[in-house]
Amino acid sequence: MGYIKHFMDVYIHGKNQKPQPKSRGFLSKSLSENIEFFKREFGKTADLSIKYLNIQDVPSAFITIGGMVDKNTLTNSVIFPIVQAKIEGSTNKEKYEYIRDNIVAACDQLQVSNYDDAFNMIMSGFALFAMDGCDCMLSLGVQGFSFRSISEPSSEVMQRGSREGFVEPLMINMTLIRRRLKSTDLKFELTQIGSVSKTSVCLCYLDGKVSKEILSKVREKLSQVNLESIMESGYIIPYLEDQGDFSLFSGVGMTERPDTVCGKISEGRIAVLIDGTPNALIVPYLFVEYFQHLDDYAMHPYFATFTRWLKYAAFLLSTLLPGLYVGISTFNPEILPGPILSKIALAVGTTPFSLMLETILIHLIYEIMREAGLRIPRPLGHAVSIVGALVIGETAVSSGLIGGPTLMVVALTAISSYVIPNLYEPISILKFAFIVVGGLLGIWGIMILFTVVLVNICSKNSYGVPFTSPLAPFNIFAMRDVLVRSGWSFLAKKRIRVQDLPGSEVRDKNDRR
Amino acid sequence: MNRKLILTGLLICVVTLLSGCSEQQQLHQKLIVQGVSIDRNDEIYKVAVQALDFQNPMNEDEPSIKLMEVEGISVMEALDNISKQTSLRPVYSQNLVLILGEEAAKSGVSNFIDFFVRHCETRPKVQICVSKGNASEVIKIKSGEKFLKSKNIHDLVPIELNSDVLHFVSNLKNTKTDPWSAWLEVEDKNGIKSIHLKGVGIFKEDHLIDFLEGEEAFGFMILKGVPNFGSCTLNSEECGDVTCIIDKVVPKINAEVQNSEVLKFYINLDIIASTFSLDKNFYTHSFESISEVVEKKLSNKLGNICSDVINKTLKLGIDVFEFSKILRNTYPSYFKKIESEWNKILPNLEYKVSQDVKLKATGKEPV
Amino acid sequence: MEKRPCISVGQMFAMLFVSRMVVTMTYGTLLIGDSDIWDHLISAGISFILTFLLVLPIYKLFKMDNKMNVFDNLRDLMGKYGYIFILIYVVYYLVVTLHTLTIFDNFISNAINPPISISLLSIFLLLSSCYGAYKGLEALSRTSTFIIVATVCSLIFLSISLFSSIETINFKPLMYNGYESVAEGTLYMISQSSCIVAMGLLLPMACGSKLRGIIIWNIGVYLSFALVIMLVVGTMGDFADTQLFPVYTAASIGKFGSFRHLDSLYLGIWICGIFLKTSLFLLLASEGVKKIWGEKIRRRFILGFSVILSISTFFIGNFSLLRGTFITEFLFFFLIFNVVIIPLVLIFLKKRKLSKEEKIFES
Repeated sequence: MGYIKHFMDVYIHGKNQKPQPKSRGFLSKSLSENIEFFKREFGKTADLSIKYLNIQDVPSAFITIGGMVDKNTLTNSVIFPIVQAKIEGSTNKEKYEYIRDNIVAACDQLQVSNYDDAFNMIMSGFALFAMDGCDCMLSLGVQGFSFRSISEPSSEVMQRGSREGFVEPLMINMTLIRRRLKSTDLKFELTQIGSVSKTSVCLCYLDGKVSKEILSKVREKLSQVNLESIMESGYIIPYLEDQGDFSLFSGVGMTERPDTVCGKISEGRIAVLIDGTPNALIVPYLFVEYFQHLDDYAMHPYFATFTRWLKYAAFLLSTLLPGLYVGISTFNPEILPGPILSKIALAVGTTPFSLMLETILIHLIYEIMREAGLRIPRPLGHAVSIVGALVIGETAVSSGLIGGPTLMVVALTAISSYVIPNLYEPISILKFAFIVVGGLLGIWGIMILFTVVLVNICSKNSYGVPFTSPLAPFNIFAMRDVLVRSGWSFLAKKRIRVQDLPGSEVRDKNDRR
Repeated sequence: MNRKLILTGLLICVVTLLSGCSEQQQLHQKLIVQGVSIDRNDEIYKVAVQALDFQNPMNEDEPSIKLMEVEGISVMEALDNISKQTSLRPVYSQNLVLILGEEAAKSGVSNFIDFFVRHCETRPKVQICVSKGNASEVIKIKSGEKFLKSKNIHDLVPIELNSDVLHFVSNLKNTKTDPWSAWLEVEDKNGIKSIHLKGVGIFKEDHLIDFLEGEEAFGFMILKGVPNFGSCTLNSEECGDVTCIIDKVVPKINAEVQNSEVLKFYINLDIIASTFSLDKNFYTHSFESISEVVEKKLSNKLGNICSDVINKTLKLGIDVFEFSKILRNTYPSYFKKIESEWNKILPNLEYKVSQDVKLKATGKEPV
Repeated sequence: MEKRPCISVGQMFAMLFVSRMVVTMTYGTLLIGDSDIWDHLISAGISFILTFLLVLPIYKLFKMDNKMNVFDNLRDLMGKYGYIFILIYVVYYLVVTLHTLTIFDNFISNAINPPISISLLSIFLLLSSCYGAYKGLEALSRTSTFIIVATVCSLIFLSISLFSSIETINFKPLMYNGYESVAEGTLYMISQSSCIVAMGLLLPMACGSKLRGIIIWNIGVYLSFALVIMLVVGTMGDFADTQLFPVYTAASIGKFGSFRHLDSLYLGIWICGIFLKTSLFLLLASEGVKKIWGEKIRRRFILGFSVILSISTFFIGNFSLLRGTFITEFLFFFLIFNVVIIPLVLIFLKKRKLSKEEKIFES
């Protein structure tokens, strides 16, 4: 019932909702007028279903959207009891109230009195019960649309820990979080965005941990979303980022795991759940979080520390290696040890392209293969792998188009970039930039570009918290979960909330409940 | 307006940056120089360069070694002719050795050493060697069908000798000290040529004035702290002929000035040696009893050898043992006084060599 | 009141330390002439003390009102005439930026001589620096946190790798050839202490104990300088005199296990430092412009300056005034004017103003 209450707050009483631009007015007392209005608004849509009934000579109707309600429940738990019951009351209104209070009392129900609310409810899978002579309708929670069952998220596989991932319906995702955090501090705040899709968006946070300032900023940013429809959480990421702050790195995190969300909101962050997508957004999101994985906390601290450093190294490797390879081989061969230098020079000598062009080409081919692998129907996936292995791995080298060392560099870069999948987008763009700069300006250009990227990352703020915190500004205590992953006894000593990190401009950071 | 300006600026930048592409030279279009030899004949410098040839590799995995001989009025001119000969740009960053022919070294290295000091690609740790006769013979030597790699030539010279451009130039620049370098020689035995570290070439300022070989070279190496160079054979009643090898040597030179007048250098050598080839009493005497005798004999012999080599260098008026630096560091005010007359004082320097030789038990203990 | 960026004292001094290390790393005959490097060990000691003395006026001015920087004070105490002095500071910051770029240009062309267009590299550096300045102080200070870690690590790495190559015979007696080298070294080190001028603007923006920061920064700067001198002289002896950039040459000698040619490591860190220094001083100059003409002009100034300099980069190698020993003296007197004379005048004016205000208050 809690969710329904929320629904009421949001949809019926208009809490947390920006004013609607146009209202369709209040329901009429005449059933036929109301039905006529519904038919007019929906037009010739095929899925609007209206079931007329005469309940003790009173014309009544059940209005539903086909496929969104569970017909069995509606028939057995709602229609059948109403038809069978002896309804008391002299006027139609009294009869309606008798049905509402005595016959379908056990069912989730809400009373709506205007067309907008009625449309919202019906399109959310509720069934509307209307009676002639009543200027209100009863919406009944008999949703029965089918959805994907809870399963392990394929993009965030974990060695240990829960196998549950978010699914598309918002309510189920909320339940997944609630089950893990049985606290009254856990709040779900529903709102609706998208002028056409009217997608339900839920802010999820822990009261007492979250900063009020950050929360109001998130609310404000969500209210500024001017999209018609939201099909994926990625649609609203740009609205949650700071405006006018161009960066390849995002200050909004994304996860499919409810346990990750719980971990994040325990540190004062806010999760944004969007109906219809299994990806939850997390704000504020910092740079170091890209390297923190839930698996880290399930493993032994020494191994988690090792894997974390591996991730840092993989990030640098995947971003810089191709650029350095091109830059050093072209302009600074003195850096290379003799045997490696010979191998590269011999390989370059046999290929028709310059090293820079060769590296760009092979990276492009790799990206094409990757994209093809993602989009291709699954049964053809193997074919792509075979072609990929043959084209890139074997033929390109044996035909003398591509040098062996270049291929090795590309392979190493590709593998490294998958160590931090969330950073794949910036890495893939940056590595091209580094290749070009390395090929034109050598190691000096690479270092300058690297510093520029560093400045770009450092200049970013995520909701008043420096994106690079706690590395810069530095906090030694926070290093327990950045440079190393300390044991739980130490991690549990003091939980640092995101707004307490050094350099944070959040004003209410010391405000604890 | 601003955005358009920025975009135009960026476009110009990209276009100008891309124009840099046209002059790019790929790795295989470069000549990776591994070794250089310099000879001088009739006022003409002949330079031989050993470089890695990526254009015509030996096989898929190994580049061939190319040898190029160029000449010019100066070394710079000769080196400049390399690119004219091959159209490849020589890269000196991987250069390992610089071998000087006798004539070139005797005529003065200042004419060309500057290139190896100031050129942005050359490294200060390039090994510098001299050769009697032509240096190109050393670099041209073949092992089987292939040229012997410069790396192998480089490895012949012990690091402790400090026969590199860094020390050479450092001693050259200091007007009171003189440089030295390793002496490599090609030996022809039954038609098979091989290179040997024969000894040391000693310089007076930038001119090669003499070669030290045999016991002189042995003494020089000891005084420079170079172990495992040659061997020393002794003869004694107790154990017959004994051959000793120096495993470790730590030379210490101290200066002493008494009453601001008498100047004397004390050279102390801490030596650890090992013995082989005892041809007498091997099975009848204990190691302790033999070592005492050998240590004494070896100590005397090494003392004499070292004194001889110091004597020789002093008589030549050269300071390869850096006495002047030691004196300057210990008695700066005294050295400042005699600095101008150092060249006169040097041949008559008083010194004393003391050595502490320890024999190391090696192999099986004699029973 | 406008919102000022707030950085920690650690970040501020990290930024200044990296800016100073750039000078240390490019230290060589180009700027010190024939001066004896070894004697500069004493110069480092003297400069260490002198730096403390030079910081005093700016620190005192800051202590009098810890919310106002030199520009605020100039405007507050001198009125319209203050703008002239702000302009002098702007010129100083620009000269330092240009000087740093010239050193970069010289270093790349003399010590490395790469087969790429140096002008293009300079333009790239300049545009990047402008981007850094555009992003503001907070971005630069956070970046400096990463760069200082890399700088310190590379310094330690370099020390370890060169330690075994040090020959004590190369350490000649200090001041063997008289006091001239010491004086020249001191002049050079102080003239390159542009960070003190930067403090005039940065101190009010930093949170934390500034005095402790100044002490640690100064110790760090001159300790690392002394370390570098010892490494250079110890490993190379008289050979160092033949090199334009002896620290770079020393780095190329160093080896650490199978790691060789550490000069590339040196180069990487150094370029990061150059970037940071030029960005910082460009930013400081733009702060002055902002004070006089406002925020809009500040942004245009950064953009305009980068365009003008980009064009002039093609000729910058010929700006012989910006290198050589002349610039040392010029920078020295300019520095003294900015860190001693102007702050002292401001302190005097401030005291007078305060006493006037007190009198009014009492009456």
